Amino acid sequence: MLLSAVIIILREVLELALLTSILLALGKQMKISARWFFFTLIVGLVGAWIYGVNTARISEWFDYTGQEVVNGVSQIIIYLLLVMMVFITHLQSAIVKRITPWIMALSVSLLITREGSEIYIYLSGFVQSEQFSSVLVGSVIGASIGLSVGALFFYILSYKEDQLRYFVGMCMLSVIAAGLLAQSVPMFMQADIIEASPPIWDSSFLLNEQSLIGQLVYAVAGYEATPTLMQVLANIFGLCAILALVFVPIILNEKGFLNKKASDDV
Amino acid sequence: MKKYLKTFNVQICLVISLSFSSLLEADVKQFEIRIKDHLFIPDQVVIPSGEKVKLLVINEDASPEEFESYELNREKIIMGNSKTIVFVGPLAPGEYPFFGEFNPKTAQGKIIAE
Repeated sequence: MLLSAVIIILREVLELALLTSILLALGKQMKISARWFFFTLIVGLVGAWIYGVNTARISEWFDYTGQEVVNGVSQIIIYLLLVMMVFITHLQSAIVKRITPWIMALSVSLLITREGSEIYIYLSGFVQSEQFSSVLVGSVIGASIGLSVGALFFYILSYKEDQLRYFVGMCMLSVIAAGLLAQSVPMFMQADIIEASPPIWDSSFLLNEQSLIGQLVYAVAGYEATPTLMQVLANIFGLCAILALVFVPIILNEKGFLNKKASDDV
Repeated sequence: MKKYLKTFNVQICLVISLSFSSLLEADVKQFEIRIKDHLFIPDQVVIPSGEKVKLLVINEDASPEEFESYELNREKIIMGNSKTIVFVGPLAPGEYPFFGEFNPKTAQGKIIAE
């Protein structure tokens, strides 16, 4: 039970820790104060508690598909917020500094609400059980590993301000955001909102989704060993849209189409 | 008079659309799985292949459980003493294991599509 708790909590925390650390590092590169994070943490934790307590009721919405609808829509909203954030980084600095912390705060608090509610539900299921102590120890270990990975990435991406770190951060952000978008597809299929389709390949022999690495890659990048066409398209589209917003202005600038250098805002 | 006719028409349209949607719903076969003492009952569910079906998962335990299947690409939390619906398929003939993520040692089952 201890190992199971480590993996479950690590999976929930890792995606959140990585997204938060990337946004904090990018914010630092853009000279944006990190005050938004403390506000976000409180809002997200309160949101997680409210969602966790009301999950049974929410699940009954839309003919018992409320959970999929709420989670799927919130993941799409997070993706759109991240797209918006990347887009405005190429605008003038004053606007960037005013709007960006709000976008970061909203996206991270939505993710804390979603992942935090699952942790709350998981732990609440064992409160009365004899296994609670081992589940709690496993959860603390899992959360610690996830937060440590997040802290490590924050340090790597932010200890020095340069373009390479900024672009690596943006690429990582694209992968996580595209994963969130792709993960929403099976939720809508599960709720019969999108017509289900058979998987287009099986890459279990390369990376088994049930393995520890497979589960972590799922959490971070939305990896599925047997994805449907729509999931693959969502992932590719999600990735390309953000990468295009990051790199196209730079390419245009180098070719002299833009007066203002995009990286000036960094 | 016109007003009454309009209301009547709206009512007819509503009845027709509701009947139509219930007919569509009726086409989707439903299968029931219960969770009791951290076990899936039955632990094997035979469903028709090539057809979308509705799984009604009823959690009779007081604690929550997460219905999860890598093979079906499905995961959903079912709170204690509550029920939920999970759509699966259309599936190719074969076996598709599922498990309860919160109690993976005991909560095991599989869907057999044939």
